[in-house]
Amino acid sequence: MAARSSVSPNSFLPLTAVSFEILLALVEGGRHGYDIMLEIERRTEGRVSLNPGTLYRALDRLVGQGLLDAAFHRVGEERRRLFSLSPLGSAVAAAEAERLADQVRAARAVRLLKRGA
Amino acid sequence: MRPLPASERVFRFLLCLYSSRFRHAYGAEMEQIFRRRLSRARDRGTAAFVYELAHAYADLIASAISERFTGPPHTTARDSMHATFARDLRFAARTFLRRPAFFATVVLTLGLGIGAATAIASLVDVAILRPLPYPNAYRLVALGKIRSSSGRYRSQLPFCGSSVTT
Repeated sequence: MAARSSVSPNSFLPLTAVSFEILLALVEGGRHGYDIMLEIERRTEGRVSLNPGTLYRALDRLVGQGLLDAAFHRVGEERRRLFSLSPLGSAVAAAEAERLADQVRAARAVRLLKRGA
Repeated sequence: MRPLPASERVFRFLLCLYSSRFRHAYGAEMEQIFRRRLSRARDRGTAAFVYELAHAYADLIASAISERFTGPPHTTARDSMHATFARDLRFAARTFLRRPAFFATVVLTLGLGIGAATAIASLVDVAILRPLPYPNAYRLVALGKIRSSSGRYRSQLPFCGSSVTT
């Protein structure tokens, strides 16, 4: 983990759309896989709906890259995995948001987007 | 214990496409989500159910291919040749799954092409390239008689390029 603390968040950019959606869904706190899927559907008003294959493949990659932490906890009889943002994951999500904001500012500057859109 | 529906049996079978590490880590949770999504789709009607099923299977196959070829994730291997190859492979798998008729044509064409090439190569190998199954096969000659225009017979040793008139 010591090596990871020296990794620059910018080295992970640009994130894939799925990775960024997952990081966004976890900004307010840890969630289970199904909760992450529901939160993304709610936030995008159903435009993005992740199937289990894509969702867990992305979660596995993000955990492997050190952007997410995964811990088990018990809900009744079930053992569930709770995913949450690591400090590096928060920094990467913020850096990606900043990058996208720059692009939106550039689009506004050339009047591709109206002000306030 | 209720028997497993066919849709879940297929899903469980497709889970085997992933590495055992991935399957053991996430397989049970993925199955739960699949079940919940199917149940939601069933409420929206048969067409939605069938679409959900097909989409979930295609997604599972594509992500399993990606997982198999990229292996455990790395921090800095995003642009490695390996990752690029996996991305291309995933893209190809998705394209094929979206266009099954095209996929079937490609498979059929490749199958016929490879089959025909293999058959011709085998024939040429056996009939021309491979030496005859005798010791000193190069010393083998064929004897024959040819009637010449003068009415005489001529014995010919075709492999030696010489002939004897009798």
